Amino acid sequence: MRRIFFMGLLSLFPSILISQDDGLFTPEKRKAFADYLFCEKDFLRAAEEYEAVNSDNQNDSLKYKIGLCFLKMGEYEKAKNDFSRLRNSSLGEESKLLMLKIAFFQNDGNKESTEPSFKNEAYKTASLRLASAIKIKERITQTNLISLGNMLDENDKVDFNNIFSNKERWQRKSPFAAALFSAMVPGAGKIYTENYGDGITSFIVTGLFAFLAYDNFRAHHNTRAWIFTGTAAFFNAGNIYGSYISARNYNLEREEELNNEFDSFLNSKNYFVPKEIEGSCK
Amino acid sequence: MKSRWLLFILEIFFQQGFAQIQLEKQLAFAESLFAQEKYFDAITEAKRLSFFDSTDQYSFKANNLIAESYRQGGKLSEAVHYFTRAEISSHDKMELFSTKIEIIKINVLRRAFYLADHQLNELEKDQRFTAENSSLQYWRGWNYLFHDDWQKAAEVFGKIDSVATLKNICEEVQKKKYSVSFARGISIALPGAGQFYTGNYVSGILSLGWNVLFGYLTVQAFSAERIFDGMVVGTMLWLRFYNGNLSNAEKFAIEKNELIKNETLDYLQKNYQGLKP
Repeated sequence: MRRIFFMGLLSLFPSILISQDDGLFTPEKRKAFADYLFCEKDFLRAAEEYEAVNSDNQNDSLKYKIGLCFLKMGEYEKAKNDFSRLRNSSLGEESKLLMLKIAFFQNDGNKESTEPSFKNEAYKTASLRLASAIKIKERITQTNLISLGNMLDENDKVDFNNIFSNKERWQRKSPFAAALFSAMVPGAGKIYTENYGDGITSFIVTGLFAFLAYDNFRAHHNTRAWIFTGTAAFFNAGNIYGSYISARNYNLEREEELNNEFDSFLNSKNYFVPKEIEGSCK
Repeated sequence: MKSRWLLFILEIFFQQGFAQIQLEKQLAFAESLFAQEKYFDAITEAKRLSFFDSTDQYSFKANNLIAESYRQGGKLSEAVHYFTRAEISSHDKMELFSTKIEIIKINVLRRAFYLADHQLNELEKDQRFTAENSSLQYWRGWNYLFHDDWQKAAEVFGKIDSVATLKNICEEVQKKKYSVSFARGISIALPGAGQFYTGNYVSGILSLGWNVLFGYLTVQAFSAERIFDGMVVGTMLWLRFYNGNLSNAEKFAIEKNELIKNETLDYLQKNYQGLKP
């Protein structure tokens, strides 16, 4: 009987130990939970959990994971801050590459952020391509396009060339020229911005009212003549301003179209950054 | 040998017991955070519970709590996602029914009328929930209400004795609403009248003024036998302002109705004591 009682007490011992630990809040469990949240794409909570573990038990891989969470959330400044602290750690090269990716998202083309040095060949290639992409995003020039094009694999090069092959897609129209053309010939500015329908309509409407104004003045119907003059002037002013806006919209549309295509091309290549350095989930 | 077995069984028994206590404590913790309206933390702790609950014993409660917290935080899509998870892990038909209703309530809230209507129809057809018909009617009424169909909402609420207040509110709104077709109709007869009907007097006067001016110029041009002038003024100015007057009258009526709807929804949200989506 005594033996059984003793054994019972003995069996309680590990359980008592369990009850005295932090339960679901031990660093190991928190880390496992944070990994789960990361894979569930709940990055804000994952970052909080990693931070909680890191505050007790500082280590580079946790800091790196925190940076990744911020990067995935689009909190680039915070991510940059975390990665910059890891520059000289064992995860330094990965951090530098991810900082370059952040520089792309932030349109930050300064030399320091776009020209880090890498020992790892794959990272080096990725960084050169990404730096070139940053330059293209800043300003599309023949030189920048050739520079990135030469660094790409054959298949990627085809996709890349399809985006930028047509020069008209990335050349711009001057809003001032458009306004000037319309001031000289109503609707000409809109035709210059390839807005043909509006250009022809502007020409006809303004011309019609101008003619009616002239005709009514000639026939001494002064009230109507002045109404038509005012209407023609109103339409022409609208037409000049509209041409200026039309050129600006043309540029914005082309830019957005091109940016979207370039961005989706880069996105499909994960911005040339190897996927495995951004956290793997089963 | 026998005592070793006993020791082993006792060990397993106590460890299971303590693990159970830990999860129970975690659920209570998550629920207390929810009660304190700390929804972000409540979600974290409920997710933690769900993650460590290897037997899925607390899956329904945890997912329900996560969904409810997301709803309170206005994240309706996430709420539906977790209510669906709760639905999958429900243990009995009442749990199943309650999660399905929660999903319908969210769809009502986010104005997914046809989806909510379809889900209500499905529940109505389901033999397991025949006793819940009045509850289904109640949420159907809310669905019509959020869909701006106050007439049908009043009809549905009219079938339930306990919600006479809601029925009366719906009928009142239906009476208060402006008729869009009437606003357009009277503006066809007299430009600006539709604007007057919706209480936009300045706009009504301006509309009438422009139409009188350009109408006069058109008629004058025709009577002076300047046919081309008359056609241009008539089509490009008078007709343009006349059409503008019609769409303006319609727009004002729609805007006023939207205002009435939003005021009523706001009133219901703040003052109605019964169940709400």
